[in-house]
Amino acid sequence: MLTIAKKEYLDSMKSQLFLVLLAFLLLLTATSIVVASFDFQNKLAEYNQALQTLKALGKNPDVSAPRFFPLKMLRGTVNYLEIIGAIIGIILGYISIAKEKGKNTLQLLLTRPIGRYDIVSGKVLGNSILIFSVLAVTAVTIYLIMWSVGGVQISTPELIKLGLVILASHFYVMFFFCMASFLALKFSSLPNALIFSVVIWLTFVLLIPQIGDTMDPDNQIPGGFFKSMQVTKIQEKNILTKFQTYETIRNALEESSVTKHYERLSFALLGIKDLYNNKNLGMIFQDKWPDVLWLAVFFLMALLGEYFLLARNARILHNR
Amino acid sequence: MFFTIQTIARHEFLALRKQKTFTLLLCVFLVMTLFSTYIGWSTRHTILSIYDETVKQMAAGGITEIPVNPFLAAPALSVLKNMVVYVLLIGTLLSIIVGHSAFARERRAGVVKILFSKPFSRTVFVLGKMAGILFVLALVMAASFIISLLSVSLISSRLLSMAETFRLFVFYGVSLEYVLGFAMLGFLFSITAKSESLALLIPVMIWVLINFVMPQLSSALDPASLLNPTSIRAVLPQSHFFTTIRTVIAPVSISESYKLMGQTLLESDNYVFPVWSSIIFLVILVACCVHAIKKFNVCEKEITE
Repeated sequence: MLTIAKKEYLDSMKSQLFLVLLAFLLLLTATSIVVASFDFQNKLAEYNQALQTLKALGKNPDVSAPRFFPLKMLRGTVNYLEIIGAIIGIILGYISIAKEKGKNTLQLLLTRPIGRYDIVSGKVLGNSILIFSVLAVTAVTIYLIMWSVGGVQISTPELIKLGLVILASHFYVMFFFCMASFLALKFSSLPNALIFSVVIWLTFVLLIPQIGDTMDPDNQIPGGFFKSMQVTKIQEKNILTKFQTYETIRNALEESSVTKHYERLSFALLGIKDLYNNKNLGMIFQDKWPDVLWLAVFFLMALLGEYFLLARNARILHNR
Repeated sequence: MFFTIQTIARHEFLALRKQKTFTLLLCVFLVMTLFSTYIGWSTRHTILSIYDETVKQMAAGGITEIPVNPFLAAPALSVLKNMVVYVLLIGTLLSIIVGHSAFARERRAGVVKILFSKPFSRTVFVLGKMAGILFVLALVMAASFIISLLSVSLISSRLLSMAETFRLFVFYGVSLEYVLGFAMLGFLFSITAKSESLALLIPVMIWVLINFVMPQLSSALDPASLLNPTSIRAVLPQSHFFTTIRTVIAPVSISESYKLMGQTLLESDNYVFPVWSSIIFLVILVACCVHAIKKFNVCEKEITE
């Protein structure tokens, strides 16, 4: 199993496809951090200008200045991990099975004293280490960009939170890896398996979160509906209690997407959701344990699906 | 020449019709078309009730200056605003796959040598394939147009006026031109890429760049927010960095042009057609496809995995 895992890791490291994807992910990470930092500067400048104007008019506004939280700059990065990370998982999962099926090397492998589960376990382990390496490189890139461009020092608690986001990202990407390799094993036509994986990606990663977001009453106007009506957060909550069924349906829709669970957990850990900003891990996990659980359930379902498929029909390893 | 183009186009149409994955994606697109009307209607219905409830609470709190209902004057077609996003997401991906399979299928079957030994030029081959793809995508858009027309008429309990029907027709016409560009992108990389994964992956990466990275650079909106049709009307940051980026990117940012066009057609009374960028994008891609197919070496091994 370890030999297969090592081969899988080395094969992918040499693959042109994998290197292109890694470079693309790093480019997107850098872009989103740079854009977020310029956006923060822009908001700060707008605040200062508005403050000066109000002071010139003799008013004394009590609105506080936008505060800088380095991990908040990672909102775009999490979004790109949701999209590109999932594609990386799908491509690696698909290739890990397709290359063996395409060259008929699975039969050769099975003539050796290796169990069929060892093959799949080796592939999962090798790619799991590879995906973790990619995410670790991304985390180092984030740290270096923040340190070199903005001169930002990330504190130890923030580093731990970043590490936990990387761990969540790992399980998220591995879900797509297992799902894609499951489909590549199941389908006799490899291109169909790949395209079916893309359809699942489109549904989970883009469509379901998009529908949930679009149905949000507050998202109907740029800047927010309730803000435009000058309604406070408490009033907003009171109003929405009368539309509980609608909100429940919207929430249930979002809950069905693994991406939304990953996003909710990551946004809480990074403090992107103001409620969790600067809060300790205990408080975050007290609220977000369902998202941790769902992320684990999705991953385990895809992983066990692969083993279950093999247990039911070992001949699929011979199909081309 | 016309007969040859017609034959290749007909073959392409028949081959796609048999493809299960194409049927699957087509179903997803048509279901989402129907769903988009429902989401639009349901959201509008709820937000109007929320507005009424908010006004009631404000009045109870003694507030006399009540903001005007921002959804009152929304045109009937605005319930379809999500379609702009679905064309950007599903329509373009469907087109990439349609374009990709147009040549990958021939390469996979190893019939390219036989195909190019026939008495027609390679330019005619590309034009034939393009005509076939255009026909298939036009059918998809026509089906989507009919679904939208019927569903909006049904929920607004009236037949849409001629002007509204024309707007909807123009929207799907421009959408067809937009997605055709992505189909040619898929076609181009199925000619040039060495492996099937790369042939699919590179167009998807360009798709990410066009739909997410370029708009993010000019608007500072994160990728998830860009999928909300309301983001089209978002206030853009005015700092030197963003205005400079916008000046550079705007002429080539085809997704932003398309979104603006879609939003104007479905949600306002004005007409804005900043679609030149996507027409230029399509023309460049067709030229690239012709060039790539002329350079294509028939002795090359068939496409791998």
